[in-house]
Amino acid sequence: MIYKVSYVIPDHAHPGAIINQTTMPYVGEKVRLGDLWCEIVETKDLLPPHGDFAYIHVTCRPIPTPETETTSS
Amino acid sequence: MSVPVDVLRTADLFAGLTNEQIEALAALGERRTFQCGDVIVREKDAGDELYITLSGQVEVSCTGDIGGTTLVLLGAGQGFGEISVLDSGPRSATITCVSASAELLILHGGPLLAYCERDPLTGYRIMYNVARDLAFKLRHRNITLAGGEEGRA
Repeated sequence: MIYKVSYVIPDHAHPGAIINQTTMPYVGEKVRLGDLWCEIVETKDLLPPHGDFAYIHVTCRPIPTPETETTSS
Repeated sequence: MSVPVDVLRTADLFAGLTNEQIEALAALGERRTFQCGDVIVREKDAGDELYITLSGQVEVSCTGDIGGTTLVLLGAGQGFGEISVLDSGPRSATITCVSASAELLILHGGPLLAYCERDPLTGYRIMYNVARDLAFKLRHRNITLAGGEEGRA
């Protein structure tokens, strides 16, 4: 399955990101969106799956740059 | 240098296509790597290439009456440049590499559209994929403008 993920950061100037990935995002995961590090606080299906694609909405909150970097790119 | 099919298969543009169709489409394009800060596409410029992000992240921004606005970041699997391919107009946004590097597949509009006309069934699938991707971008933008609330509803 390919997860097409819409990352949104509420109440923040960051415009969010759209990324295709082969692993399902999970709450607590740390992701780098451009130069901003975020932690996932919520995930939900945005659209019904279509073919090999699942469509996921993720809500994030900004965090300081972690010592051990985990990227989503 | 060719791009592995399993990498291309993660891109929306190729959804529902066979490996042979994906390889034929990829052969129409070229693979390029950009560095952080490189401007890949500039707003208002002419151009008919469709780009697919294979790795890294790019920023989509546009100028407005009161200054520039960043619209979204696009990561792996995302396409951009499709608007100019579809309407032959100038670029609607500036695309800048914002990760250490970004690897892109560049498909020129002319050969891509010619491929779609030669093989209408595949062409329909490609255009359907482009339309779905544009719709998803619009949904993302709407959710962002609504402060993330729509996605939580």
